[in-house]
Amino acid sequence: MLGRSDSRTRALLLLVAFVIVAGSLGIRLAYWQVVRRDELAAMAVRQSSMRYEIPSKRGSIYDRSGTVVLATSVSRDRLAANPKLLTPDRRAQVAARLVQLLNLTGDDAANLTARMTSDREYVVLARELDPSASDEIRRLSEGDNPELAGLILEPQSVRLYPQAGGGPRTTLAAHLLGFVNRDGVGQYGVEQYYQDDLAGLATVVAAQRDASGNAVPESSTVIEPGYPGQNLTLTVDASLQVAVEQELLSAWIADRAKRVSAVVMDPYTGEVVAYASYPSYDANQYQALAATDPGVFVDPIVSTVYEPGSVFKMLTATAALGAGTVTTKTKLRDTGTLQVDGGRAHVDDADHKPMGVMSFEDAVAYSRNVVAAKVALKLAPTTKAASTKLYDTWRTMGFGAPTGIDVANEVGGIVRDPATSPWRQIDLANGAFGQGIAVTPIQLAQAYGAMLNGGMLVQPRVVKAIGDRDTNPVVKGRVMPDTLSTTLTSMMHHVVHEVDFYRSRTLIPGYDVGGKTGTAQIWDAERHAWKVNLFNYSFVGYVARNPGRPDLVIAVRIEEGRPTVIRLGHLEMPVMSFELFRRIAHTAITTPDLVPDSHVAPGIGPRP
Amino acid sequence: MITPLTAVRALGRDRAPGRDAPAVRERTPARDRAHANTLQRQRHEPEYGILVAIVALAAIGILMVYSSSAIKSFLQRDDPFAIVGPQIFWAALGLVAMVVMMRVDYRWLRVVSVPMFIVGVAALLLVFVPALNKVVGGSARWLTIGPLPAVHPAEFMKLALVVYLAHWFAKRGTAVHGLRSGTLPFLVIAGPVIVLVLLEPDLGTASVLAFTAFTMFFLAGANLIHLAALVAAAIPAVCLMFMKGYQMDRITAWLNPWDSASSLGFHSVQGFLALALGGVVGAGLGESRLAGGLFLPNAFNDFIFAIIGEEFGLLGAGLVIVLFLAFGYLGIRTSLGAPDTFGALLAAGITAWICLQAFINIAVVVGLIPVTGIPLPFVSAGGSSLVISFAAVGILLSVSRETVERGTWNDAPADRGRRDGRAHLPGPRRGPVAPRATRRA
Repeated sequence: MLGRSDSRTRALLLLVAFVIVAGSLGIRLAYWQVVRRDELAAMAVRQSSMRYEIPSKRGSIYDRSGTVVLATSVSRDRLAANPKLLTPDRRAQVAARLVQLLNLTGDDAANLTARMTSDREYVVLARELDPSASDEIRRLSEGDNPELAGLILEPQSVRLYPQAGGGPRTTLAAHLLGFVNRDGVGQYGVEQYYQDDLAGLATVVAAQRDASGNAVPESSTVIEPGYPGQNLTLTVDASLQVAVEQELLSAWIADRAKRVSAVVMDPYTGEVVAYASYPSYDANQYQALAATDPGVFVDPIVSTVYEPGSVFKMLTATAALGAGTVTTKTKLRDTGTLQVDGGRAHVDDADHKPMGVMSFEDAVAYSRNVVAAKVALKLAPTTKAASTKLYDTWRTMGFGAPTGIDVANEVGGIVRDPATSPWRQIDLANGAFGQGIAVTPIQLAQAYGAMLNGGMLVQPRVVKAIGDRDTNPVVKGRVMPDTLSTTLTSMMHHVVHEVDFYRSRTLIPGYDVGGKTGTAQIWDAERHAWKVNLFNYSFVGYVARNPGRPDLVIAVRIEEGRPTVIRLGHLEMPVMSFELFRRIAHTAITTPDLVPDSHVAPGIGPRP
Repeated sequence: MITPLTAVRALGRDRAPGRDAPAVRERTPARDRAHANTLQRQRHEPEYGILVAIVALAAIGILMVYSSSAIKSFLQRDDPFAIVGPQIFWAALGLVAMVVMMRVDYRWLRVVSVPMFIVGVAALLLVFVPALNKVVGGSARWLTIGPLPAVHPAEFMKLALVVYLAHWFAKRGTAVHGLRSGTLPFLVIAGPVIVLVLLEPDLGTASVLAFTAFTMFFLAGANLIHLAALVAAAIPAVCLMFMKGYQMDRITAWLNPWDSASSLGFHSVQGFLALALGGVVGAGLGESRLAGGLFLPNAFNDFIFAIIGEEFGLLGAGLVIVLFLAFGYLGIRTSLGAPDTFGALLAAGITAWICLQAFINIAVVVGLIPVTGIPLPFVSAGGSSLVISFAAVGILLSVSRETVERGTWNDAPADRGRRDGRAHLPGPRRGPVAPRATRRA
């Protein structure tokens, strides 16, 4: 046993090797921890930090009473799954149970089964689950040996439009409200226009994230606290809105029209109390519609233009009476047809028959195109000056520019400026009765509002209050003297009282009404010809509790109505625009709490 | 009475030079002369420095395993102690194993060295039986037999190989030097073990086994020419192995971790980032960003050193290196002072194994060598590794209880002869017993 066969020297060599290796490890360690520290640490912080946003609850939308919920956000669960956690057998089992639980059939069931039995780590199985279904899934996922596994319920904010509209499969005031897409962004209408107020500000959170990109819960800190979305109170009255939508539906059916629209507005404050179009849509089902018929989202009241026709004779009257070239009693000769531009063109009355000498107000009442054209041509000594005068009146009354109503996607219409492209006589003559110009119904309501309220142009608006903050009327300024306004109001009164045809179907016993009809031909841009037997019917008028003191202005438009009785100058439909006006006006004026006891006319003080 | 000495004699006497029993007896205390067979050496206190270093490392390990696994365990298993709990249990079990081994005369291991080796090889073979193995991360490394917890046979093999090689080298004595008596038999013993682990496949553990075996062979007196030839032969073999796409990719990822920071280089890059975040003094306990174990998937395991670096900085990570180096120094000192060749090689083998494994692990983290998945001894989470390592240190401590001062009886240099295979006489004028036939007078 004497001596050792192992080598002492080599053991010492091993120790030396250890020291060298440990030393180089230490040096390399210092390289990372000291030399490259700043550069790499910054990279590490960048990689392990994240910011994400928690959306605030979107504000609800109420009608003017503040009690009827037109739109609100609720939390609904989205059902997702991680099939990779489960064995193939188990996946099929869970899929079958879910199909049964969610009452799925056909394609939906096959779809869900396919997703659940896939090999992916994240699949969305169903959206917007009923609360009861969510609870049931939660209950079945608990316990030691649950029936369901691998499922994730993710709460999502869902926009609900709880009120049914006047038509089938529609929600109330769908065009006015718009809808909210999956990203929480409002589309169309008030939802789009007031996106920022409704959405509020999302809470911004900074957190550390792990390698799979998920936030580490303990590390989250709020960077910006955000605030909840504000509720909106509309100026629209829900019960009137329902009634108007129902009237529009019946007119749409009876007249076989393409579209019908109506706006009811307080001319003194610009508050729109009803705002409806048909065909409308179900905002809760916007996704299905977006795939099949996205055109239905376009709001006819602010986003589509048309040639207004004879309702524009009131604009010609405004210009002429304002310029003093005529009075309401001025006698003018209706010749049935009028040669202009040296005989190269002519304008005709609708019935092509001369009615002889008549007062200006009668000519407007009987809607004589020839008289209107004559008045327009005589606005000034030259065609150019007369054109400028009429054009200026239009612009002053708000045509050719958006009204500024707080609804998204408003258009300004089309008005040709005679300064840049001079009008011929025929242009002036046509313009006198509303051909050759394109306007929106809301522009008509605004302009008529100014004629009726004492001469102030007031911007239409649909939101009465944002949160607790009331909105104020926006008065654009005086566009005519008070006296002219009174004259124009009485002219409208005269129209519906003078003509038998209107009188029998427009007057409301106990109330004062007035207005102007319009029946416009429709230019078919594809065929370059007027459409046959299709007309745009308009009526813009007022209803008042006290004679000569309009309470509400109502603009009605029946687009591409199909008349049932067609004679020269006589186009009858089951529901004429003024009949529709009367029904709406009657409902509106009798709606409680809609019109104030006395109006405060902006700029001219109280009107009794 | 059976003592380790008598038991070993029954196995066959050491072929150590000067196997003259009388010489031993002369230097044996008088009270034992009458009972040579019951000769007992004086035991003294173990080398407590080793104990301190190892317990410190294990404590750091438990702390860091908790720090780096708590969030992950909490998120995945709803229990922050899901990983560190078993670790504490295994550490306690390991301490018991260490104390037991420390109190047992290490020479008893010579009796069980052969059975241990056979059991170890058998376990490695059983891993290839599909019904018994448990595949972890694409390689079959775990063995499950009946209701017993899964064990990692390669860990046990490390100890079995060290014990058996120490026994075998001690028995061979200077014959280790020869080709047929030393190098070839060594390759026959160590080769199959390394190949089996390599086939699992577990390149990391295989390289630890190979390095340990060759270090022991070197210390036991390997022929340097043979050793050099082996290394020369190994280089093309290793190169050939790395030609396989998977290994090649690892090499590329090691050379340029930033190019593949989201795939193969992910671990390395995250390790560097963690180290950089730590700086000199560290972010503080539990403050690691990349850990929480969430960025570094193996934060509580193969890359725990990176988390130590992040939470305790250069100072803490340096301390771990220093602790392993201190362990290495004390282990080699124990080996040098061991009372016999077996004890010396046993001590050196255990020290080499633990230190090599630690250095390889740390070298991976700091990017000095390509990524191979081996745990940091005593620190990384892992039951088999911890218990076996503690038992091995217990054996080392047992050797350290019998160290002797230099200049005592067993200090004489082993006579390795003149490399001509002949016997040589000791003494100042050493020469061959008989002149060579070819030698001229």
